[in-house]
Amino acid sequence: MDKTIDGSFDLNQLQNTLITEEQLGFVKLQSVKAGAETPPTNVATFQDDTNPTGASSLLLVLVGNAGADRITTEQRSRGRVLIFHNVIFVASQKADVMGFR
Amino acid sequence: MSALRFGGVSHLALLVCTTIGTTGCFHINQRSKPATIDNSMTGYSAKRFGEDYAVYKKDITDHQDDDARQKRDSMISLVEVDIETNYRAYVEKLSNTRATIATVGDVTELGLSAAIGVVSGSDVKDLLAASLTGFKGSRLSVDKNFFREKTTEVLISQMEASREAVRAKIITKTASLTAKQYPFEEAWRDLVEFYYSGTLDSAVVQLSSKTGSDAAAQKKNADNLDIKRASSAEEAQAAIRIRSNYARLFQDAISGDPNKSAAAVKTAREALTTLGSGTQLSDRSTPAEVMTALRDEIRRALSDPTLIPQLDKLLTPSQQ
Repeated sequence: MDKTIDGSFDLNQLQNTLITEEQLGFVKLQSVKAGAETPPTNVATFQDDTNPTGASSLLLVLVGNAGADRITTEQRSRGRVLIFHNVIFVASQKADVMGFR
Repeated sequence: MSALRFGGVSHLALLVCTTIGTTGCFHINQRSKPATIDNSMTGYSAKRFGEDYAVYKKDITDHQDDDARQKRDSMISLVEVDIETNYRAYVEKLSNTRATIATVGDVTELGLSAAIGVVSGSDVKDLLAASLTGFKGSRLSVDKNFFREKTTEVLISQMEASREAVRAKIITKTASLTAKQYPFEEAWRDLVEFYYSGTLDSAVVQLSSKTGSDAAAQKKNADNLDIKRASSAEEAQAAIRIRSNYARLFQDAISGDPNKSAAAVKTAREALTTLGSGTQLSDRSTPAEVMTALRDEIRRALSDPTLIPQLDKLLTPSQQ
């Protein structure tokens, strides 16, 4: 199931929104990708989560200068798994973002 | 003092004259046109047009469909060449005129600003400052009224786009339709549209319309968003607690332990009743049905975030 999300959200707002959607909607995030340009929109893909226990908490990370490999290694060492790595809208600007849980 | 004032004014007069003289002579050499595209060569005269149209009408009357089609296409091409030549000259003039207006305007503004700095006498300074303000206002007015504050490039680009759309329509029709299916009179109307699509007025109207439709499309996209409101950090944390408490109640409800199950069902029922959503449940509802109703209520909090703190409070054991 896809849901379009306002692309003007900053990274924290987007992360909080996705966590709320997952926990209260009984769904699990599969990926986020950039949608329409005007207005900036992201498209989040969820799948039903029948497990009464919700998905473990989501973490969004801006790739920036750190580099995807370094971030992945760091998050893996903390027991997190990569869910998606896409260019999406953050505060209405395109940004390279990784999602872990 | 008086001499100094008049000296300032005479300097100003000299500056203005120099400006006008300089810009008046300002001219960028234009390319000479090849004879084959010179207007005197390409011009489709009314007389020649009248003769061609008479031949075309005769071909139609005589059911010489192929000849009529050929004549139609020939006439369309000749009118198109005329419109094209006219359009190119128009665009050239538009660009040059506006550039000249802009240059004269810039130089005059600079001259007036410089003059304000060098003249003595506050009344002369005031006069020049007022002239400068008035001049800037006039420039803005010309820009607004004639060009609707669009750059020449944007206007020309819009004219080109509009013309190409009409031209494509004409090409498609001439290539696929006979003279009876696409008579010259219809082509004539398209050619008139082709001409007017290359005018400043048309470009301004098209741009305004485009801006309006873009805004409407943006509004529609914004209206169609599934998630328009960002959750706060508190809501996200509350959502995690709600889901965790739901999982605990669910496990207890189906655990097989009568006490645990009854307590879990009681908590869920009370939460639903408090939120006004327990009406679909009966005394005979199973623990699973009660938990399904609670899950649906939790889902409802996504569209009604005011339920989030209430659910958080109702389902968190220490806060009951």
